[in-house]
Amino acid sequence: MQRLRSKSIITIVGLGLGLVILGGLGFLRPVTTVLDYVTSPVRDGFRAIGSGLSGLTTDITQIRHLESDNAKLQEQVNQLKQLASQDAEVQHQNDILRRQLQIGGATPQHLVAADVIGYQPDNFRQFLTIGRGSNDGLGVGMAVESGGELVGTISSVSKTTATVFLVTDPNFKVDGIDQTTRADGTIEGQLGTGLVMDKIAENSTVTPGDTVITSGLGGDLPKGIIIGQIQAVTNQGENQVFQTAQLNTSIQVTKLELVFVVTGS
Amino acid sequence: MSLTKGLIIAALVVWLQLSTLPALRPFGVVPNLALVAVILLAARLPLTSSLGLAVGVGWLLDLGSGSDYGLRTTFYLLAALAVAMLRQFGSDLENLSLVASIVVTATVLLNLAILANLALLHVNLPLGYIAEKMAAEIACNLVLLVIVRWIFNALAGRTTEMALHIGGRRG
Repeated sequence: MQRLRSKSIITIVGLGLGLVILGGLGFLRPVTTVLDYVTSPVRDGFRAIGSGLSGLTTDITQIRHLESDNAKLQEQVNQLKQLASQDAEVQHQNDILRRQLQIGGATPQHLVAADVIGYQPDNFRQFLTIGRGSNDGLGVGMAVESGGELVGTISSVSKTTATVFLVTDPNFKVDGIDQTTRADGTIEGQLGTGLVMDKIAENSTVTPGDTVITSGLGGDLPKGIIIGQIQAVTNQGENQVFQTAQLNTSIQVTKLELVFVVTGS
Repeated sequence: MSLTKGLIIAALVVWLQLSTLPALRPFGVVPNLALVAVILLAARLPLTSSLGLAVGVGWLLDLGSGSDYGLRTTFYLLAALAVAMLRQFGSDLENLSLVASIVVTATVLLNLAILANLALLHVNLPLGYIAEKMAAEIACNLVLLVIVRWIFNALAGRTTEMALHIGGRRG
């Protein structure tokens, strides 16, 4: 009896380690695909319950801030209306100049909408699971955005789901440029402090409030996706080779319900 | 508790851990319901069943997570083995403070394993932030422990009542 029990224990431990090794080597992809397919509708339902509860508690605690928030947002809407009007004018001039110089126009991005169906089950790392996969044309390295801002890149893909490596993960890195001054640097996720733009040349200018976008250098990320706004600049001492800037992103991971994958342009 | 009930609980725990709890994020952290459930199941189920469930829960979480593949399967298996060893040595696993100390130790160790992986990737690890998150997760896990333990006791109580009832009718 004792021997039978020991045998069962060794079998289970072996099975566990076998799953880890086989999965690590990528041999369990068909199993993952089937599991994803079967479980994704249920996971979506469970995620909706969590988001609903979270939204309810947030709503209750935020009611007293509504009036001031509304006034701030109205002010932003007015500013954005003015900017949109200026942008339309610049776009028109740009189109005329491109036609005169015979340069092709900017090609629009192809976006695939995807529901968020799951999250990273622990703290410190930042990943999402979305309900679209290689069947919908998604591939590793593609950019994922929400509201025009970069959410992350696809790190792995199955037929029906994909895992998104979030821009706020401490191991995330992407090249970015300051949209106003064209200063470039490396954007990195940080534990607890959001995003940092590092390796900005000492002679470049970066100003708080400037928008930082993807540079389009390296990888599959297209140029021009908003990453965030510069909040503060540090390391501007005389002997510093590089400057560092703290970035603000408006992406709230737990509020994301629908994201868009840039599948090509 | 029966293995069937254990399997249903394990499946529910995996989905809650991957979908509802990360969206809810009480105090800005994801509580580890799976770890609490694996420890409590290991304290109540036969060894082979509890180890099998630990592997199943860990593996499904590994598949659902984007990083550290294999960490959860290995860790939950080790946690279940450790609880089984305590049972073997005659520790009273009905004692809440003992189970609570196992949950606290396991939470700290699992987070340290995740952070060790990050350290290998040369990521800056701010100690204040890590301590704050870990303390919040421990607090949430302890609250979950009390709730899940109460549910398990209620389920076990109902099973015993039903068994007594059936036994009484047969008698």
